Amino acid sequence: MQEVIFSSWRGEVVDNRGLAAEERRKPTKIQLPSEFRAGEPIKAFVGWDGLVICDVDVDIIDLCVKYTEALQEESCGKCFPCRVGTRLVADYLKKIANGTGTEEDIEAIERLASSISAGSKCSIGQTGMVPILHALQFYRDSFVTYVREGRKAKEGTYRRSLTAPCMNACPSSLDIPRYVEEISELKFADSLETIRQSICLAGTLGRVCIRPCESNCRRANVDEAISIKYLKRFVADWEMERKGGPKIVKGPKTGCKVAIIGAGPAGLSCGYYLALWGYGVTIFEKLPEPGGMAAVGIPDYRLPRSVLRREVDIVRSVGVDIQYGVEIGKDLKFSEIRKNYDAVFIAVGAQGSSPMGVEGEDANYRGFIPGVKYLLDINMGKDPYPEGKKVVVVGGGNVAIDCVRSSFRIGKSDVNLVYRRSKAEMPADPVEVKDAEEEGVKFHFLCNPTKILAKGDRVVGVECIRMELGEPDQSGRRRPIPVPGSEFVIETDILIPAIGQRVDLSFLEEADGIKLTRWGTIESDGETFMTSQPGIFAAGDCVTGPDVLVRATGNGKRAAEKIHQYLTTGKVEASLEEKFRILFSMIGVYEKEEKIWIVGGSKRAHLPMLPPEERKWTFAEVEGGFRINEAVGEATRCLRCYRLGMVALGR
Amino acid sequence: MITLTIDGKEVVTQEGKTILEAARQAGIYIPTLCYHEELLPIASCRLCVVEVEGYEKPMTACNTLALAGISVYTNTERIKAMREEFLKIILTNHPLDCPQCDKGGECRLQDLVYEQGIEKAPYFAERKLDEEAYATPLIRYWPHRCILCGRCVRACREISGRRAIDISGKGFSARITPTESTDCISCGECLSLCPVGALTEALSPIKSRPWQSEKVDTTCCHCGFGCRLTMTVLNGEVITKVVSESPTPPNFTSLCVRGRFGFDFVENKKRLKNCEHRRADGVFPLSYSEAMSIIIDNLKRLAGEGKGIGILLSPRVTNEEVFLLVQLARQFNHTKMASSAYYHTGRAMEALRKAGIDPSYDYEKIGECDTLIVAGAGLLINNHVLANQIRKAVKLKGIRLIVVDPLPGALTAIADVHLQVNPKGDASLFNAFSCRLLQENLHYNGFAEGFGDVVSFLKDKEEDFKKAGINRDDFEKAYRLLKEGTIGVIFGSGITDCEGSLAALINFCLLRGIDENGLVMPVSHQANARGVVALVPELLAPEELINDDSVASLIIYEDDPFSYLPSGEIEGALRKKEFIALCDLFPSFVYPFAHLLWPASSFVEKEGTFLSGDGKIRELKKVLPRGSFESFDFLRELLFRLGGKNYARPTEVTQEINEGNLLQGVKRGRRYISGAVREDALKDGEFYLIRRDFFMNHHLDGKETYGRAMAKIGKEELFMSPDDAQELMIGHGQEVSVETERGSITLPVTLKKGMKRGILEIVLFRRRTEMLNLSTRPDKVIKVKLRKA
Repeated sequence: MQEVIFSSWRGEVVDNRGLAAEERRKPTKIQLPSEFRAGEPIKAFVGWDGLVICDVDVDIIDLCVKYTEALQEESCGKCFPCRVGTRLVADYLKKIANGTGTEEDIEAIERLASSISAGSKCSIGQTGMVPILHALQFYRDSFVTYVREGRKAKEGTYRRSLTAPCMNACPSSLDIPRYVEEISELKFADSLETIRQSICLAGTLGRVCIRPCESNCRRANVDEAISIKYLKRFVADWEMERKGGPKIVKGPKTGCKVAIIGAGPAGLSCGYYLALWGYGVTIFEKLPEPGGMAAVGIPDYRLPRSVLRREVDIVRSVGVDIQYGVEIGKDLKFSEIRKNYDAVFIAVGAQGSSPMGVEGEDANYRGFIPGVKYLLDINMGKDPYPEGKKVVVVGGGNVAIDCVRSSFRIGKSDVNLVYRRSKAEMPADPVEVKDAEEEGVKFHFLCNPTKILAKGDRVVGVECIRMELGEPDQSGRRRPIPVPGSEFVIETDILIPAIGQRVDLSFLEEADGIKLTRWGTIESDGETFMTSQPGIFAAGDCVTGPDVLVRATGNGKRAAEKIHQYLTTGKVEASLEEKFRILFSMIGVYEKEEKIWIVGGSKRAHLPMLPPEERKWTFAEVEGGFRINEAVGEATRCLRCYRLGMVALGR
Repeated sequence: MITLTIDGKEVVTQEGKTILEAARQAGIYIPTLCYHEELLPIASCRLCVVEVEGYEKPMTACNTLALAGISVYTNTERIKAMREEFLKIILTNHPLDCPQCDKGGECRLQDLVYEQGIEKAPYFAERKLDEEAYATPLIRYWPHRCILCGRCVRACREISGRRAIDISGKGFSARITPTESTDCISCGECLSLCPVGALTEALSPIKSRPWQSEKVDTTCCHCGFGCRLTMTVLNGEVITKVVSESPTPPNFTSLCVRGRFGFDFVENKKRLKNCEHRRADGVFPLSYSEAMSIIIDNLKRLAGEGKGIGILLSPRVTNEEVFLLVQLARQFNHTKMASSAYYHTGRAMEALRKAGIDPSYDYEKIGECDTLIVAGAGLLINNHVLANQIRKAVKLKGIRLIVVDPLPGALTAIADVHLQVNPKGDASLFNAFSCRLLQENLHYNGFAEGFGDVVSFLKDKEEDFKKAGINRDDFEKAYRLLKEGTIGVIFGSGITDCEGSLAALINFCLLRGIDENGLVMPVSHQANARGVVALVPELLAPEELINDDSVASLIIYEDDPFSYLPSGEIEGALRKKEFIALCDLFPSFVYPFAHLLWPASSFVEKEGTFLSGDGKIRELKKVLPRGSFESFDFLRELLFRLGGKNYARPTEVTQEINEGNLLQGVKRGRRYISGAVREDALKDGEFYLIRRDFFMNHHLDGKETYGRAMAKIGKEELFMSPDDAQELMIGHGQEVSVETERGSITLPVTLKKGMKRGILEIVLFRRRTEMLNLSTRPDKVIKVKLRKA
């Protein structure tokens, strides 16, 4: 980690100037890497919570000038203090940097910076002046010296990026404050266009995303987090209801062709952007339907098929050719694809079911249906086991919840869920769990199956053992330990394991040379998405293991950027934005304990839901969307938490 | 209700109000600049910052909720210092234009600087901003005066529902620019709300300072909404501008292009000033007395011969004038009266009267409905401010909106469902709704005569929506919204154009009980259409009167039948009339047919009342006293000389109207009405042509465009579906010929997204005569053929 000469970050002042090596302290509130990119040491970091200086060879005045100019360039112009104020401050700072500043200028900067800090509408102005004020406070001598001696500042090299707590948490790097603000200004079409800069599945994600952004929302520090996900759904539905579509502006044809294996979220995203940038794109999909887990794994009552299909139609309208019913490995060999296309993107996902490791699992009993297969059958419109009346699902994630709730909808009325930990540790979305409870799922916590009981070839029950929670494991959750002698039997005729998914890479041959990780996923570079073979890229569940949709779409787009870079320059490397994303994550953008001085009390808008007794028997979408006034009202609560981070780099 | 403390004073307010709203309710002043009651809070000026006890930093009062128990301070030393600094920042580079800026004396920034005691603007930053064309030529944008409060951008979207302007650029160089979409309608909402002089009216050659001029409130003479116009008058002689700034109903800050910019026709030099007599050997000026004598002599002579007298009156004249004309008609035996108010308002009121429905409501009642149906009323040209009210209800209360119209209009973008019916197909749609209500036993059980007949009529009509060209999904979506809650129905000439549609809609209202528990409102196209319909007994359609051979003489009062009737149908009949007396402002198409002319007063020179679309009586005040003799005086004298009562002043007439309750309808029992449903399919190669803006004020757009603003922005447009154009291989802007057996017109076509196939839309303007001559009747919808020119 970096040696720090001075830090004022997050209220902690560490001033090592003039101290001997053993007296120097390390800041606890921030840690910086020594390099930004290879060969670019970090000399300083200027951001929303203060200044961090790592090298004596940093010109504080120049730092302040560049930072303030950057603020002015990012200022949206909608409030006076920031729009005009940062320009005035930048002008005064430039005067000092030119050697023509006066002491009145320093006072003016201080006065203006305080006003901007106290008065700006959004975080750019509010946080932007914090490092300037810190510089004036702790490095005032430098300012005074420059003024008195007419010294000129030395220009440095800087890189900067805008972020926000929600943006930084989003695996797809959506420009959230912007799209939410556009909704509050009644610019719904613009909002959807902003969203489409990063993802092409707004209606889908607006319904099923796990929304890490909302747990990083600063409004929660005032009253309640913004309903970011449902606002996304609002603008997607707005366009859909008015039978509109995006204004498609395609780049010139590049003449290169890219093959994508899998029309799931990662594949669709990658294809959409590559096609927009002028590439010929073909997606090979083994199922007759697009969407991957989003289509076959997520039931219609959460994500209506019509929504997903419409979004896939838009992807196709951009020029992506999707070939259904084509299984690579069977209908076409991977090596053939590789020969005929300039680059290949593997996005097969993880649709295999992980084994529970209990006796009888491999016996092929009727009534034993892996979770993903269960959902696939139901979403294809058939009851996987009509003779069965009682359902037991094992697992605690979203797939398990989808299985139990779907069971009602195909007419099974006795539906149970078995989970080895307690409710608090369930990884499923708590809203889904609550909805399942309301619909009448019977939960059996702290028990785990040990043996499948069968009569002939049919499942008749499952033997379980009670669990108790011990010490936490590496996921941070308390490890479940079986209680000896506590075995009991649950009678059932349908048993569904839904404890996780596996990647199926059997289509790859030894000769293809694609290296796998020890977990059986494709090994690919975290920053470039390239596999061990040049020109072959991979992302999504087949790389990470079963993960969330929004990460698949985000990485699908990033992979597209890398493929584009590869095909145009022959090289691939992480972009500036991605580097900043990693840096900001390390520094931490959202601060849970931050006190925001706004009187709260406004409530988060909620979607209207069908009552449980009505909705449990139907696949119709259970949630309605926002009305205009609700969406606009909700979007108005957003605090627009943009903030600027800048690094000073050495050679 | 919650209680909080502001500056030590206890304030009680409703939950959900902001600190600013609570303060204003309690009469506590917090300075604001960007805030406006008609807009959602913007919070861009930051001047309304207040301190709240227990919170380290100040916050803006306009967008912070008032919570029970908080203690707010609006004027601490810290706040005062902040406000001063913010104002100084705002004043950076603000040009010293006050002496010649339109807003001098009425500028919010000026007021605030004065009030806060700012003596110097200490900050300066160089900026180069080019002046660019604004979204409309009627308004000029001054980028250096603009403080980027953002009110104009919000007003355009929130109030007017357009997207004509936006903020572009970043930081100090940000400014307002027109967007790509060319959808500015020159309503001037942005101009109305700009707190400084960054947006000024670009056409008036004469301006006046607030202390030099007087403000007089009157009512607009164009459409029937009833907007209040606040005229700014200089020296009692010239109207320098029209504003709508005070928060008073019915239009609050809103006007449309005609209300705001369309007043200067009254000062057009072509105004007719003298009475004229047209004889075989020429046209000769007369005195008022001579003119009156000629009229009286002719009328008496023809009456003596047993011939009929007809009065054709404009639907834009005051109730007092209408009353006098009715009295005048009563002095003779065979008189008939007609007005273009007949076509929409006349038909609507007649049908509603038969059904026992009284359509008088506060416009505010719109916001109390759960679901609103807007049928056959585009609301883009006429009644734009009514569309604003509806938008407001959607924005603030989330009311649901169903638009029933073959064309996309002002409200289709925010509608929950747009039922794009075939022209004249509304009857089938409403019959289907009614049938379903009956089947599901959801109809209103209040008594109405004729229920049995309507039940048997509606049997088996549940699928009729298909005949109207609506698909099942849209129908079911709309029906779900209509089943429950309070419903409001607003309808326009798209419905009244067809007898069957009107009957089906009214019966639907009766079945659903909307007249008892909701709102049934025909829009009013002309300023006093409702007044004319209420005051004139047995009102006829104008072409009936003109083509009636038993009517030998005509008094045409401020009207020009050529602006809404095909010339081919009326020229002959007009020529045959033995005597035509015309009263009007300008030479119109009918002017050469008149034997006698007397000059009219414009609406700003009259005292009187209008009956607006909501059934309320609205006043006109004399804004410009001009000349000693006016139309009212002429009519009064004429009536007196013919043996009628002598009314000294318009107010006497108003009083008599009020005492007789003449403007109120007679309440009668509810009954279902009948109307034939005509099946009207298109043949191959045929199109429906929907003719819009039939009832434009002929002073603005008749023989000539007498108003400069309208001349600048008005235009003909022919709209077509892009799918139809593609099939016929017609490109955008290509000249096409629209033809019927009666006539044709050639003009370039504009492709418009959202247009249904088989439908053309034409906006009438200068080439009115050609377009009207495409048919024999003044129908809104006709069938035409299309040919590439």
